[in-house]
Amino acid sequence: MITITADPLDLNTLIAAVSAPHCGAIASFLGVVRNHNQGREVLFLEYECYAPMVNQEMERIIAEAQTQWPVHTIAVAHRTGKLLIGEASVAIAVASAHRHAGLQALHYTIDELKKRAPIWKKETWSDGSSWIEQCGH
Amino acid sequence: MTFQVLLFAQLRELAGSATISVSANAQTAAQLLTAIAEQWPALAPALASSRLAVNQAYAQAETAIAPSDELALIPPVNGG
Repeated sequence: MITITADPLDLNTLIAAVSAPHCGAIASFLGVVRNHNQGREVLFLEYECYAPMVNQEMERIIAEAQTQWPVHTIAVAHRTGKLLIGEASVAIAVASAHRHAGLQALHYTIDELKKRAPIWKKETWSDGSSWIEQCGH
Repeated sequence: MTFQVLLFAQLRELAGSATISVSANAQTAAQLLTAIAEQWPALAPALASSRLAVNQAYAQAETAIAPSDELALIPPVNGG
């Protein structure tokens, strides 16, 4: 399940979408916009994406995670457009029978999203703006 | 042959357009990237760190391309 939207993200919607009677664990991640990066004060971010390829690449990442760990469903939502400090940019929920598989699949999904999904963010500070290179944190 | 290539983020801003046309006798991703570098010098600051995507998947240097493919230049990504 992959959603790309300009609307605010709601992690509970993803959790409800992945939950199933045989799943005893739902692991989730919420990425939010922080107020500083590399020593500068951030006012807001603008996200741009190549939506059809984000869908394709995330389908591949989810399939890879499901091959490596016994997880039931993985849902990913990513925001686009202008985001203010504290707003959620990405939400992921993974349902699995047991917690270890879900936590590992969650970790893999967010790490690979950051490496591979064609999504870009432009930071605006009080004195300028720039597209950001990946920081690796 | 003329190829249409989608641009995003800093590449789109450098070109001043979300799509560029490239005329080239290119049959692989590497050959198209060489033609883009020659014909669109404005992209130079971000081109070396960018990858080509063919039909919404990352291409290797030898990946075959045709003008009917959906081609896109992907600068360093930074989602999440």
